[in-house]
Amino acid sequence: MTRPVGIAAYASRCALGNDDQQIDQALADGESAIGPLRGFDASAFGDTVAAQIWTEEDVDEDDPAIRILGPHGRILEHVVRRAYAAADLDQLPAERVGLYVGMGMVDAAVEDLVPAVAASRDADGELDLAKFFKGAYRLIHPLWPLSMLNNVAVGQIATDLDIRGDNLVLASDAVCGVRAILEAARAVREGIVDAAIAAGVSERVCPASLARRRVGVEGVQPMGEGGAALVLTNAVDGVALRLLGGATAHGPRDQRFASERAGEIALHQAGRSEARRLTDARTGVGDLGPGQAAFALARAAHDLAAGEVGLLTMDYDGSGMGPGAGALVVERPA
Amino acid sequence: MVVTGWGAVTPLGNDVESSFAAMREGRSGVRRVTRFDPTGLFCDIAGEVDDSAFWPLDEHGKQGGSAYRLARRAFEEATAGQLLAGIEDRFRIATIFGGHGHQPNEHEMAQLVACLDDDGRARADAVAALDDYQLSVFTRRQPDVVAALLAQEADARGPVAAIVSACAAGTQAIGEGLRLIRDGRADVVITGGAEPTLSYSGYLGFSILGALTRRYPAPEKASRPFDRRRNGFVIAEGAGVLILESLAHAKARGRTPLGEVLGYGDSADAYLITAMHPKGEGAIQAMRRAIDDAGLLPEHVDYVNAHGTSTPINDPTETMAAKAVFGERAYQVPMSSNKSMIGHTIGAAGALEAICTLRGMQEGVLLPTINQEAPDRKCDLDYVPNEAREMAHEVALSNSFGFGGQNGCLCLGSTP
Repeated sequence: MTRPVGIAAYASRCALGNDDQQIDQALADGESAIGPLRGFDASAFGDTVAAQIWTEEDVDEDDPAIRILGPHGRILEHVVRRAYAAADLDQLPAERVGLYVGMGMVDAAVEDLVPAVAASRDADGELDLAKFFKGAYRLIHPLWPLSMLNNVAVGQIATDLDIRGDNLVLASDAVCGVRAILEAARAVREGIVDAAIAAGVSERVCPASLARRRVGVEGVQPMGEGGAALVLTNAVDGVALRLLGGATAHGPRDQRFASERAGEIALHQAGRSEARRLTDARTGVGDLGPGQAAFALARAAHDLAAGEVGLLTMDYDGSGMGPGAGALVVERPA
Repeated sequence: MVVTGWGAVTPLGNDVESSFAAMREGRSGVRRVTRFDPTGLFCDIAGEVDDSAFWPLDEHGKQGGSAYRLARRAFEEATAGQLLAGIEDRFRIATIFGGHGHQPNEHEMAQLVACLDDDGRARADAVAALDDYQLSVFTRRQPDVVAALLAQEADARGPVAAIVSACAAGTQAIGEGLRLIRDGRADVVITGGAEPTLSYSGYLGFSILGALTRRYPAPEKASRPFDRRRNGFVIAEGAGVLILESLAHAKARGRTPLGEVLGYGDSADAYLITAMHPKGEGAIQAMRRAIDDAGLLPEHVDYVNAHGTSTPINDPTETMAAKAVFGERAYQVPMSSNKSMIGHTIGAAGALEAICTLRGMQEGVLLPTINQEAPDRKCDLDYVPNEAREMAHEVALSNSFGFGGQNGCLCLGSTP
C-alpha cells in the first residue's frame, strides 16, 4: 500500500527575497531579480547580469561559520533551519529525521591561496612551484580544503540542527535537487525516517562560474555562445516531508497553501533517451523534451490526470553532460 | 540483491584478482608520491595506482578527467564478458556513483590564482581573458561527470546520480543502488566509486587539514589501523565498480552471482565535521540499520570490514561502536582494515572494500590488518593481525564513515 508523503513546510531564498513572503510578493508584483553583478568587478565580462542573493550576513568574512559552510552552505542552512522549524521536526527523535541535499558546483576557494602564492613568486613575479611546495603552502588556512568538499556543509547543518538520520549529498547536475526530494520522499514512505528535509542549492556566482558559463567546443555550447543563453543565479529551497497524516500547517500563510502542500509527491526522473522512447510511443505527437517526459512518467506512475496536479516543478540539465530531467508533481487532493 | 560484476583499480593492482592476491599476502601499496614532487609537505607518501598500462582516454573520455580514467578501467573489468549485453530495456539500468571529481592541478590553480590581485580580490578581467578554460576543465570537475560518462559508455538510460559524501560515498552509492532496485525503479545498477586523490590540490588539502600521517619509518609501515603508533591515514587513489541486480534478474539472464548485498544503513554523526562522534553513535546506528535492513541480527554477522583509517580517533571509536553493536561477542567477530595495505581511497573506499569483502567470502579468507606491532588497549578486538586467515564466513558488514559526518554500512552475504 502506498503511503502518501506530504510537504509539511517549505522555505526558500533567492534574489527576489530572503523569505517566502518576500518572494511571493515580488512574484505577484512581477518583479525581476536580475540585476548588475555585485561583489567583484565584472566589467570585463561585458554587460553581465545575474540574479544574486546578497546580504551583509552572507559575505561576513569574520563569521567562523563561513569558513566551514561556504557562502552556498550558509544560505542552505538558512532555509533548512526554517523548514525544519516550521515542520516541528525538533519534536521527532534526531535519528528519525533525514537530510537530503542536491548541491551545485562547489569551487575551491582559490582566493585563500593568495598569501601562499605571493610568497612563492620568483624574481620575475611568476609562480615558483618549488617555493610553494617547500613551505609557502603553510600560509594557507588549515580549513581551506573544506571548500572543495561538497558534503562538509551538509554535515555541519546536520550538526547544527541535530539531524542524525539518513544524510545524502548529491551533486552537481541540475537535476540533483529534484532527486534529493525523490530520495527523501522514498525514505519517508518506506519508514527509513519519519521525516526528512530535502533541499537544493545552486553554485556561487563568482568569477569561476562566469568563466564556466563561456565554456564550449565546436558543436557543444551548453550555456549558449559566450554564455549568452544563461543568467547566473544563486538560490536555495528546502522542503520538509512527512507522511501525509503527519503533515502540519503553520499560520495563515500555510493555511493558504495547505491544499497543495497536503498532496502526495509523485516524482520521476527521465533522461533524453527516455524522452525519445515516449515520443516513439506517441508517433505523430512530436518530440518530447526530457522535462515533459519526466512529467508524463511521474503522472503515469501515480495514475494522475492533468487536472489532479496541484503543482509541477521540473529541472533539466542543459549542459549536455548531465543526466537529464526530473519532475516533481504535487497532487491536488480530492 | 546480488553482485554480478566487479572491477577494481588499487595501488596493489589494476584488477580485482591481483589486488586481492596482494592483500592476501599482506603487501602494502603505499610508497613515496611520484605524481608530483611532495618535498616539503608534511607527508610525502600515498597509495598510487600504476596507470602506465591504461588505455588513453579519447576526446570524449577526457571530459571526465582523472576520476573517469580510474573508473573506466574498473568498469571495463566489471562488465567484461558482455555483462550488460542482452538487457533490452536500457531504461532499467541505473548508474549511481560516488566520488568528487577531479581536483584542480598545479596548472589550473596557478591559472586561477593569476586572476587575483594582491589583496585576494578577483580580477575579473583576467578571468575573462583566460583562453584555455575549456569545456573539459569544466566537466571533469563536476562530481557527476563520471556517472554520466559511465552511463553513456554502458548505454544505461535509467536514473543517474553522483553521491559526494567523502569517505562514505562509495558505500552510500551501493546502498542507494540497492534501494533503487528494491523500489522497482531499476533492474540493474552500475555503482561504486572513484577518487583521483593525487591531484595536487586534493593531496595538499588533506595534508593541510592534518589528516594524513606525518611520522612513519617507511612508507609501507605508515598505515597501521588499530596499532598504538598510528598517527593519521595514508591517502590513496583508486576505483571500484560493482554491477547490482536482483537474483531473479541475474538468473533469468544466466549470470552468476558473485555475492549478495543484504542490507544498507546510513546516518549522520551530527557532531563535528572533522571527527567521529566520541561514542560512535552514528557508526552504531549505521551498522544496526544495515543489519536490520538485511532482516538479520547482530549474532548473524561473521566479520566486519572496518573503516579502519589509522587515525587516532577513528579506530578506537569504531572499536567502541563494534562493541555496542555486538556486545561481548565483539571479541569473537574479526574486524580488519584493507586501508592498512592500500591506504584510504576516499570516495572509492566503500566500493573497493565491499568487493574485497565479497571476494574474501568466496575464498573463505579474511584479509589482514598489517602493521600490527604495538597493541593499543583501546583497540582490543581481533583485527586479523598481519596475516590473512582462512575462515568460512557468510555474513559481513562493511563500514564507511565520512569526513563531514556521513556514515554508511553495507551488510554483505556470500553467494546465494
